[in-house]
Amino acid sequence: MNVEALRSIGLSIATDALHLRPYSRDLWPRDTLKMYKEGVLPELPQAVVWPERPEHVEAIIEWATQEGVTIVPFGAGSGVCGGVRGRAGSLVVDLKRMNRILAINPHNRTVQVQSGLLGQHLEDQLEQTGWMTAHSPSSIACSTTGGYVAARSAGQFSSRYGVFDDILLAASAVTPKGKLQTGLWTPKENEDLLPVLCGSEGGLGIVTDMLLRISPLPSDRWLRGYAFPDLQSAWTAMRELMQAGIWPSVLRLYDPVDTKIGGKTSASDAKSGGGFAWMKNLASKSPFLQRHLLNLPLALPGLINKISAGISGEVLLIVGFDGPTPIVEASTKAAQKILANARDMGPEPGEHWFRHRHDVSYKLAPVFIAGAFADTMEVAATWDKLPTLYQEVRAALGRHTAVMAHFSHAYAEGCSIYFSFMGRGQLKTYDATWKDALDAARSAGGTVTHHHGVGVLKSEAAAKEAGAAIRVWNEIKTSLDPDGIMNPGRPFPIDFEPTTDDTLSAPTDGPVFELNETSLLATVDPQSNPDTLQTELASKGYTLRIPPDRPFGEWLPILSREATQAWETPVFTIQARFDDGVRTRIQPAPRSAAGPDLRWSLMRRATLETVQVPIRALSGDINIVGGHPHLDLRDVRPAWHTANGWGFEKSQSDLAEICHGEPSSQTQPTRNPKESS
Amino acid sequence: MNSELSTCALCPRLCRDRCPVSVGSGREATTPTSIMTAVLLAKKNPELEPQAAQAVDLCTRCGQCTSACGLDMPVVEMLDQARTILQPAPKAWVPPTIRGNARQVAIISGDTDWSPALEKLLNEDVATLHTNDFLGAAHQWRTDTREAHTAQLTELFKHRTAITADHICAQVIDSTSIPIEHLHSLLPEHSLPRWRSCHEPNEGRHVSTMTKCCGASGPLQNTHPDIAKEVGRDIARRLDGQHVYSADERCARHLQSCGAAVTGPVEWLMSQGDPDANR
Repeated sequence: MNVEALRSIGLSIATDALHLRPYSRDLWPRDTLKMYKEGVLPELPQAVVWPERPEHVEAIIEWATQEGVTIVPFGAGSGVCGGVRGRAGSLVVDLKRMNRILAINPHNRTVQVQSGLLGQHLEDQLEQTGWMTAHSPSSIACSTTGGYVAARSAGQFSSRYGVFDDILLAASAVTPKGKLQTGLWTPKENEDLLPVLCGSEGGLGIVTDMLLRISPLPSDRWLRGYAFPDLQSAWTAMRELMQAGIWPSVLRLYDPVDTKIGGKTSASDAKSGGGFAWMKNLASKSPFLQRHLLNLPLALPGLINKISAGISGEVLLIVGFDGPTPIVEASTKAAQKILANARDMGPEPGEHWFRHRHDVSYKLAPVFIAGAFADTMEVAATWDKLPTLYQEVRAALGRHTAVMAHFSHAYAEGCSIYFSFMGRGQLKTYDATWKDALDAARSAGGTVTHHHGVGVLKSEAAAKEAGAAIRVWNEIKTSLDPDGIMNPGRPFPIDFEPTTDDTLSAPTDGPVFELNETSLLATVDPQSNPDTLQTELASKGYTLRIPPDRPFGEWLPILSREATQAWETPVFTIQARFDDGVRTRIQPAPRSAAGPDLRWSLMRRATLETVQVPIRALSGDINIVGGHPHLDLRDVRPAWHTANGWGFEKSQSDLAEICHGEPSSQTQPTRNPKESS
Repeated sequence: MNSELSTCALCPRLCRDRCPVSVGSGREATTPTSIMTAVLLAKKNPELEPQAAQAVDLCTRCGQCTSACGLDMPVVEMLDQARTILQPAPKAWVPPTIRGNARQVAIISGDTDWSPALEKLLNEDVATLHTNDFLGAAHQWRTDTREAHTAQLTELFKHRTAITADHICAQVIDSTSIPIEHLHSLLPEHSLPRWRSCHEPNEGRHVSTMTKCCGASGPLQNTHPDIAKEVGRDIARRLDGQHVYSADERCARHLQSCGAAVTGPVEWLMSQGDPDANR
């Protein structure tokens, strides 16, 4: 590799091991385990380069294309799946010198930033101007905006503010075939490839800058803990809170083991540091006991999991709201009705979580130092599948490791589960644990990753999840990166051959094929007239949450990103048929980071057969002429709105009350796919 | 040491957003986690010792990693220990001579002898000491030579007060019991420019590299000059043409060389002539 051509244009490049070695791995625990146990790191790349502006990125990719050099884009290396791990002969492109905020637009509520900006620095600078993206992953200090795009990140306040997909409005990238403008920046004549760029893990090009939604800093924050007798009752409350349209920013439910270990449901436990405080206190008096306290679950995960399974007792749900004070007051009033049967533990559990919300990352090192490994797995499913997903994945992980879980990133349609597990053993145990867990997640109908991305770890599982839709990825990849120099094999294995899903067939008995009343989703005929759909749904007590002004099959493919708000998700699972008769189904369930969102490009390349869309109960809307004189629509989030006023669901009556306009008889209008909402 | 080293090496670089060298250069190798990893790997594989020896000098000892760390890991002290193991001991330190008998000693670490201007400002005699090795900082930053070096310094400054405009010299003196004054603090406050300073105290959790000392104007300029320059250029870029005052002379000179408009305390003192001129 002759990098002098790059040096000659003023680029800073390093080829020595001191600077290359840190680029040989990210935070994938498998590589950490190998490094710590054996002192071995993955292969070193051949060089690393630090571009300072988009023109540099263009020059680098042009040079790499000519030289046939593999490029690995690099943010801050906080990935946990090996997405940027080193490979011999590659050129790492570290983007952290492209770390500027380019423009803040308070009127449109957007910020334009470069892709090498650390998340914490973005929030710090926005805070000084009264704004935030509210994207707050636990890695916020050690991850970049470009990384959030690459791996489809989610933050701790995603229930209200959305995952990064929802926050991202546009992005510019450089590909081997030139500049690519996506999202709101897509040229009129082009296909919008933002959904494919987001989650592409460097496989298409290098993101240089992006446009993000911002929100005003909250004037009020409300956090409280609630104890439930069991998981099922807590899941029901979470679902009802999310389906009520009151948008909590935080919903975190700890499973019985996590609740007990954290000691979160009794006041005395909280003060003494946890439900197993007596054990911790005893251990603190003896280094021997301390060592073996950690060793016990590691040595006997099966036994520990059996004991854990027998743990009965309350589980803790943390509920949080933030935003303008009148909205927080109205939302909490509504929430407390839903939470009336839970035991109110006051603000301390929530505030404790908030104060320590980034501390989890400090807890991994002691496990590795003790000779074991620790890792996390985040899966997601719609509410109806969530209990099965929890049981199945927990059982799979529990065959090899000690495991606990919490449920966060809740949506109206479903929720993610975040498993933490630790085990003793070598790579063989680690690999077996993951294989079983990924298989379990797939068979239980969940996505294999909610927000950690794919990397090496989940590339095959993600490809299986994409199924025949991987054709869409292959086509776009070939068109933008014909020589395959961009982070090859990420996020999907090269030349992956999907097996045809024979269980898929042409739908019958429409126009509403399936009604998922738990998750408030309807699978409908995309060719059907919306009025027909509404009539059919009304007969069952429901209505479309976002009614289109034409059949979904025509509406969705031309839907502008501006036509829906951050909190509005127009479509979930889709089924389509390629011209050769092969069918595929993409199930985001309810959010996924298993590679890019291929649904939008699939719609342009295959015939839509079913679409799963959000619905809500017909309960008598409360329509207010004039909205609110001071509060912004984007903060209030009514069920629907027009230029004349806002409409609220019955479950949003407390929000409707703070709006002082006059009630009206207007009904929810249909939505034009190109008009801003 | 091993357990502490592992704790840092296995951390997901949670302090990286506070490390001014890492933020300014963008280089992964400069994060405290990467430096600790280099040291840890060298312990497992002696062939990697030369790289680790280079890596420890990527740290400017600004200490912001420790203040950001949820576990308060003593990164600077850990690297002093690593330096002792990985780098050969420096030649024995020969203390410089203090010229003059005054109680206060101006430590001149740059080209400009500012003691006459200080004498005028204070209206009293000031002794001088010229140093070109940061008062033997290399001896203070190792565990095997620190004690002897501290004794030498204490003997050198016996019953005197050190006055410095250089943060590295200040760090070295601060680690002894020698009384110290920073030149900046002796300048009449009302006469100082009301510009932003790189060395103003700021307790913010995540401050930009401008408001905390990055340390890049110290020995990093000798061991890794390219990186020192990158950090300076990053700060200059953030200043965006704004003229600022830095309370540290070495910092001011460094940033000037990176294209920033910065005035330091020595330059300010010398330009004032009559300290009453600004009243």
